[in-house]
Amino acid sequence: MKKTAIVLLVTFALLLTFAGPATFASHSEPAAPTHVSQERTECNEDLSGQTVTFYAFGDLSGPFAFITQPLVAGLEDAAAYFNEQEGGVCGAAIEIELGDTGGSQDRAQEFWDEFSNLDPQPEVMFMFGSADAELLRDQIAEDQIPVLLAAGSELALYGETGDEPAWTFAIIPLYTDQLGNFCDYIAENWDSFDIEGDPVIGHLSWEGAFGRSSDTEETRAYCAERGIGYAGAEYFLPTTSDVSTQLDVLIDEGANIIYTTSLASGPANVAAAIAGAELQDEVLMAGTNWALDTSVIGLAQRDADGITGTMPYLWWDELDNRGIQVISNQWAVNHFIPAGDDEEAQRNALAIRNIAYLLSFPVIDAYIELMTQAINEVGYDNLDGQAIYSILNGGFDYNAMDGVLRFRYDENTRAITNGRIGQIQFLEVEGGVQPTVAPLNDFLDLPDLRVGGEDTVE
Amino acid sequence: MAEWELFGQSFHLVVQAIINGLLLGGLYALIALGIVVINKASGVFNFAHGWMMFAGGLIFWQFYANEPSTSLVGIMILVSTLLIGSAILGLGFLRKPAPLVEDSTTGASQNGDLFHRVLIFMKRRELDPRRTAVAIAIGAALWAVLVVGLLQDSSVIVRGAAGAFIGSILIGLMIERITIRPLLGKPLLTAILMTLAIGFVLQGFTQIIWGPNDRKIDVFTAEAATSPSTGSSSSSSSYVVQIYTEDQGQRAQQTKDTVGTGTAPDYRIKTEELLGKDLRLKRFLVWGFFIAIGTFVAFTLFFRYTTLGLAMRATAENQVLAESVGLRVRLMLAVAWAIVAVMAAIAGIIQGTGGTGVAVLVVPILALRVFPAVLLGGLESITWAMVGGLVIGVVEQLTIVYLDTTAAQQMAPFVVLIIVLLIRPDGLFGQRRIDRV
Repeated sequence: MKKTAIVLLVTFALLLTFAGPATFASHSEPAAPTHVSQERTECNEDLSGQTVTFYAFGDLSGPFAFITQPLVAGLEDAAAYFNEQEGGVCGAAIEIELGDTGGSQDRAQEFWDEFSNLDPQPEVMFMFGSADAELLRDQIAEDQIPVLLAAGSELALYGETGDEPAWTFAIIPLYTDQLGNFCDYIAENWDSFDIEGDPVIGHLSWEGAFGRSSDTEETRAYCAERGIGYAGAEYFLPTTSDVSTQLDVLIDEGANIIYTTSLASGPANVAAAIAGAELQDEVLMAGTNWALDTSVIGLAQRDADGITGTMPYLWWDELDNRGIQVISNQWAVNHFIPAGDDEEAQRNALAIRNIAYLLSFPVIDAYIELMTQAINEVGYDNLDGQAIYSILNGGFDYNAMDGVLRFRYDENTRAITNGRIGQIQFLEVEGGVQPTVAPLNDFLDLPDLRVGGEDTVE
Repeated sequence: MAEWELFGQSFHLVVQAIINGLLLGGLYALIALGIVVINKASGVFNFAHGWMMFAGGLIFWQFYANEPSTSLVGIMILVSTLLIGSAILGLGFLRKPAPLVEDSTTGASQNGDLFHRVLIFMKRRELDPRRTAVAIAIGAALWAVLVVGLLQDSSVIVRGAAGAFIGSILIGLMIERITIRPLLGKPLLTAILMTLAIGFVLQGFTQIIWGPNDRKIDVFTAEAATSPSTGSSSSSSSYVVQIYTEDQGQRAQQTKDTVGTGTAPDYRIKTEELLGKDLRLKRFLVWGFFIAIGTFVAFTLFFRYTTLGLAMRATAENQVLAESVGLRVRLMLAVAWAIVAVMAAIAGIIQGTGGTGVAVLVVPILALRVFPAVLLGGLESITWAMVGGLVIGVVEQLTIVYLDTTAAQQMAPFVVLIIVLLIRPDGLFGQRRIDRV
């Protein structure tokens, strides 16, 4: 039987050999883009020949790898771009150091311990998950290393009472603020959606801290004041096979807006249930910024058409913007064009062209600006987390990548505070269909709906 | 009747939830069947079943959504030939061969002509010529379907199924040969822990080969979609992206990928007059339900009426005794793992055709959700694994209607399980074994 085992192994190896290469696209050197950062502070020191390290950790190989892998690709492309075109941080080359937690909070703790005990200690770190940020909230403050967070957890950012600003700064708006902005838009533009009845929101979201973060007493009261009813909330685990029954319950309660706080397969699952029930003309599907993404379009296809929500950044197709041009160029040169006619490689390249890759460029741009301001303030030799925190806490306002994403923090603000309404649309163009996230209005300041926030309604 | 309520919920909603539960329960039952078959064959609770589902779904997608390369098709045909040939010959290897004796009735000996040598071979293997001929005919037909399916461009579903089945059989055989067989005779806990390890290995393999992206198997798609945002009607077409490069500026770039039309409407039962609304049946779950029923019937017949099935049951009952009467225990195990790998692939494919696609967040974990169904049947009963799946599906959906908290919804199947186990520790229909000293 040993022979049989060897035959099976060889056959499987051959299968891997032939099937595997389809998934790997080759890379080539990027073309030379031109200068983009119009608002960059002039650096007072020359650190040429040195390196600075941007530390990041999160789930890179576990269940959220589909969104973090493009983020990793984006961070590396962005670092390479800024090193080559803008001299990194005051001439020092940026290196990316990543930690893969695989979705384990134990590993997140280990990475924090490892990175925060390095000598010299990192000045700033980047994290991807709400749960990790909530877990490490106190320790982050204790170790005095500011964290940029690709999530909008109110608990991680402001604590349980809402008035304890942390050392963590989100690169997207709070989910409560996003829903408030959505309600503002619906209150003024409901007729344009051509849906029967007054607007009534039903939440159909993932179970857990992230999924439950939009539906709070503050958002219910705020939306109610704008004439938007509340049908209730149904939560489902990401592992749920189908959400038709949850949808039926909300529809029975009178919902004609289904709002989801989930991502990738979550919105796709909800969209499929709505399409299966043929409710596209009777229900508006909406969600947080993560629902307006190519990861959802890839799974839901045209079921995703019309998903509406708050979008706090420019989108890939807004190519009049110089920052978007640079990001598009980096993606095209590093991931798309070398793929040629290889169907699988093109599909993988399209998967990379998502929200996470897009955001990684303004994140690195903002990191450079932060470091530059801090170096000017205290000098490179004295640079530490406290210096970066002082910049962020003291009033940091920066239009990264020429306005792709506006970072604006102060002593009471720990998340992005402006945004606009976007909608997934499928544009009929020559040669096929162009899925896009189209802006429906201009950037506005979002309502502050954290616990005790300025715009909360009694 | 349209305004009837049942414990505060509309009658239509409750009936719809029960239907959804039964259909979803069909998928659960299919998954539970796979876990029970492995447990019956080897006594191992297979924690890798979810990852086998995931791998099977991805292999289907690979052949369904992509043009397979000539070399890949060639390999798959070779492997299918090898597997089916082995299966046909394997029928004769269920028992160890009888000693060679001179056949006084035919006068045939080992040195006779080919026909006589075949007769002697069959006699030693205790093969019935008619059954063997039928098995060879079925095998040949199956092989033809696989080959045609792999080669024919137009029948992508057959191509996908052929690829997934062969790939999954291969995975099942490898798991059995490399990881499970060496543990025969070792403590069961070791084998169970091994299945956990297999799950992690499959997770790694799938990520290396297919990357982290979820894959949609768009079988149940609408013929054309009317856009809620633009109002236009359109069908599946090329995915176009706007890109910018420094050397060519902005341009529209057509890709090889396509934009599908979205999910086809659910099947409907006209009940508007009676219940106020039509009842809806999710397409992918309807197919899953009937495939689960079909698989259940096929397995019941297989275990009850075929030589191989009877041999597998005997092996499952008592491996030592089975070996002592000449049955090849290791071969039985290999067959069981191959069959279960195919069942897992079918379940993975069905879920892949739903709203989530073949998603890493959904498919592998789905197997964990059916544990109550498996345990309800006492880990041994195929019939009650089936019933357990349906019960868990209905309980889960009804709790969504009646209980507000998701925690309660997730807990409900396990509460049912705990109650059952408290009353009958061997499960509703598990066999109570009496150990005599």
